[in-house]
Amino acid sequence: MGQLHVLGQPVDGVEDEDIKRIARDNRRAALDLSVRKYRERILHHALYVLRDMAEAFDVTQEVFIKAMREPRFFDEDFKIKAWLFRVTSNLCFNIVRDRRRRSVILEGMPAMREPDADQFDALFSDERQKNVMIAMERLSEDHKEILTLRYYSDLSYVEIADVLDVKLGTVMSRLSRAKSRLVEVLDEVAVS
Amino acid sequence: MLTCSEVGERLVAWQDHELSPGEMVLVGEHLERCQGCRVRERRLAAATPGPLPRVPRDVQADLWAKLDAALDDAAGRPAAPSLPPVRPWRVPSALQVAYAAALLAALVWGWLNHVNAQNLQAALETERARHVAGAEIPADQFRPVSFVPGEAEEPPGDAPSPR
Repeated sequence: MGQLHVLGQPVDGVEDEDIKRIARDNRRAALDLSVRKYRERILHHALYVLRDMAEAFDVTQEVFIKAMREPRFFDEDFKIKAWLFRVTSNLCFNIVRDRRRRSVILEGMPAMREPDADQFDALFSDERQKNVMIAMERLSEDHKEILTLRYYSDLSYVEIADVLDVKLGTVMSRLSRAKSRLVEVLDEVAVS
Repeated sequence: MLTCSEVGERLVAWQDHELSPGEMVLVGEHLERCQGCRVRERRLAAATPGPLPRVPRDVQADLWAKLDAALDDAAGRPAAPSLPPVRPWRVPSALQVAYAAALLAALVWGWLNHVNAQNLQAALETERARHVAGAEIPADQFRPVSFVPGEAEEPPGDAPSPR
């Protein structure tokens, strides 16, 4: 798949401010640019949370349809990246919560189809990273979310603060606690 | 100089290069001196998630084609109707206040008139009833009640007995 170039640079390098300028004349073209800039990151973020390709794609699709219908999306003070990741996190959280409810309701009944763990695991060749992912599954949702945003989706602390709508200091302390807990769980996994 | 506790709170942010330049230096200097904090830093570094492998490009190509089709379809469909937004409270203008006051006054005036009309109607009914119940007896039918014990009272309407 060739790299799309806009304004003389790869679409990944196009700033959100440039996209907003384009939106003044052609909203659909600006949306297409936003999709191409963020679709891969949104898909991977959903995939790392949900561990299921089909569900991750559904979430990605829904995020960008919502973006299309969000009237403020190209407003001057609108934070496009934070909004996209926040909506993605919320949709993923709903799916995870629904899975838990279904597993409680269906306890004792024949097992339903599990998320496509085989397809997801096939992406891994690094055993250590696979263990880290397994350990992350034992963390609380808050800890898992913030670790995913920082280390899998590569958001800065300021961007994470925007996505989660918390202060920068809260991001620092929450990440510190999450990582400390991850160390403990990795030790437990190693012992067992 | 930072304490081990203060460094511990900042270790993850130091690893992520998210501290201010001054704090980055202070934490770095502490780690050079403190073996305990160095051990802790190494354990945190070993637990750092990522980078993770990406979805293969050919798989992505199929996904993006589906995404583009879905967005084209959504662009052609109207959005599901949603409830109108709740308008936030705002201070009403003087004209709006005056209009509301006039409307209220008209309602109160109408209600008072209605009450008065009801009271008047009730009064008329009472008067009418009293008039019927205690109607004046025509002079030719008037017979005073006798106070002489034993004398029968002549019913009204009979021809008076001559005395």
